[in-house]
Amino acid sequence: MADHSVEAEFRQFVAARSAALLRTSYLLIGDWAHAEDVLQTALTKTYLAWRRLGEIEAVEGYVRRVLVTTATSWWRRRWHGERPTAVMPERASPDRADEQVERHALWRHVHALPARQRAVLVLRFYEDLTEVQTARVLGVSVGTVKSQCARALATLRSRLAEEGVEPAGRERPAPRIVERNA
Amino acid sequence: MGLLEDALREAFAEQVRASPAVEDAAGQAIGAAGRIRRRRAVAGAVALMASVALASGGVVAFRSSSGPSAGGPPSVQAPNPLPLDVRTRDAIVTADGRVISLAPLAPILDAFRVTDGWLVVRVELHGRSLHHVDPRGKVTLVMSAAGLAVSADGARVAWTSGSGVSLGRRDGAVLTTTQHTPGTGSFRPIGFAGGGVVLASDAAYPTRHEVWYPSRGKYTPGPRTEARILAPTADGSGVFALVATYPCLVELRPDAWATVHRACDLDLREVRTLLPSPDGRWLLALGSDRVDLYDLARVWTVQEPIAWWTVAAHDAAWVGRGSFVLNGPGELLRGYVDAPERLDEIPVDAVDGEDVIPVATMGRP
Repeated sequence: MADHSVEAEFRQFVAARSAALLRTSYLLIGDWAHAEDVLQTALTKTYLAWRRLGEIEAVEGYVRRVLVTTATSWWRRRWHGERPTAVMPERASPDRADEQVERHALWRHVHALPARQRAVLVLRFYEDLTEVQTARVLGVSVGTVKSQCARALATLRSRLAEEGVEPAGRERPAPRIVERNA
Repeated sequence: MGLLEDALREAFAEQVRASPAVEDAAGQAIGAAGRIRRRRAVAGAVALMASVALASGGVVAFRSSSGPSAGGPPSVQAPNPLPLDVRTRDAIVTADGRVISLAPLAPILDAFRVTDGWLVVRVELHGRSLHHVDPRGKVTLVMSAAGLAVSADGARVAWTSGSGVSLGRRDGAVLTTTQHTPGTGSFRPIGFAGGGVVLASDAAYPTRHEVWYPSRGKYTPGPRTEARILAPTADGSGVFALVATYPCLVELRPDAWATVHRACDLDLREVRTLLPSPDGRWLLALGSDRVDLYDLARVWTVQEPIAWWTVAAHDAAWVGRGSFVLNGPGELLRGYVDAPERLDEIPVDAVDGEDVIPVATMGRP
């Protein structure tokens, strides 16, 4: 394949996918500037590997995998000279009806999660990947995805409860019970 | 799907509602890729020089990852030499930039630098296999077994054999059995400490540990511990382990599992790997999203890390005195105990963003 053809294909792919990938990157990182850096790194690596990847499905999987591994490594690579004291829970008596407050609290706590757990939540509940697809992107077993997801949700529930915030969610119809005759 | 999951979907959607436009991301990526290719071309030329030198009589010696090489002429200097050899899931990249493909062994579980090349551990259907890779990249199977352990100097290997454990001396790819004991049952060797071979029960949890002392003859059941043994001490006399649900860090002597030191006020719940420095002064604790550095001269009384970093690393190695490297995608991170505010990125251009894992050197003092 000629270089200009590779370049054209790559430009086409980036035009179609970069906005969505940037949003995923932001959810993993929590900062638009760093999210762009991480996306740029992922796209550069993808372009370098373009010929070897072949099919567009392989490209999608590859760029997403590089994006997640880069983001989870870059995320707040910070030095801490001393251990912080335990953070006092904020007791601001949030109004449970106020979804903005709830979303803000939820977003804040998502970003306090370990990077891998946060990545599992983003891939499962933003990208809507299955557990198997999530495992493939993260390079871990399905069991690890399940346990990381359960642990992350439990942590969020407990931290929201400490602040008196309960996720309102959408009102859903009661489950339909279907009787099955033997 | 529950309320929290729904709330998460809404919170994520809300957060990215006002995303900025991406400015010529493709053009920037193509430009950056071009610069990387040019850098690789230079590094490749140097690596080729090294290969030619090897083929024509071996004037190139591979650098030891810690301190000067054990004799032999100096290595060829690549433009950006790494502080140590690294590996991916299917290759070793030497410190001077040579890539040794180990595709038939993929995925590699572990690799160590030894004086005569590398030792590579691979996961098999029913256990592990140990391979020797010589400096020219020739791979030879040393042995395979349900469980195996290699001593810190890389010269001794213990492995399960029938319902017992065998001990052997390794010279290159040749393993000579020196001793065997029956009666270890489902216990398998996991390491060497305190003059003995540390054995772990096959039961997933809690794992029990015992010791076989080859100098005392055949194995006889002795005291057991359910501590999570994670690393030998730097001098090989004991082990570092975690005990209890909210874990205490302990240093144990395998003989009767006596506790030498204990610290219970550390946050070690997520810790999966402990790595003492070769001089025995420092201890790295790698958790799921955090790396802690402990001063072993003070941690038992002060009970605090001297520094910690929020970084997702699952593997590390010490290089030189007071410096360590962590794994990362397409790069290493190098840290310094004397300058914890530094965490330098070291790109590994020979791999395409794959996880790059430092290869520890065996036989260090």
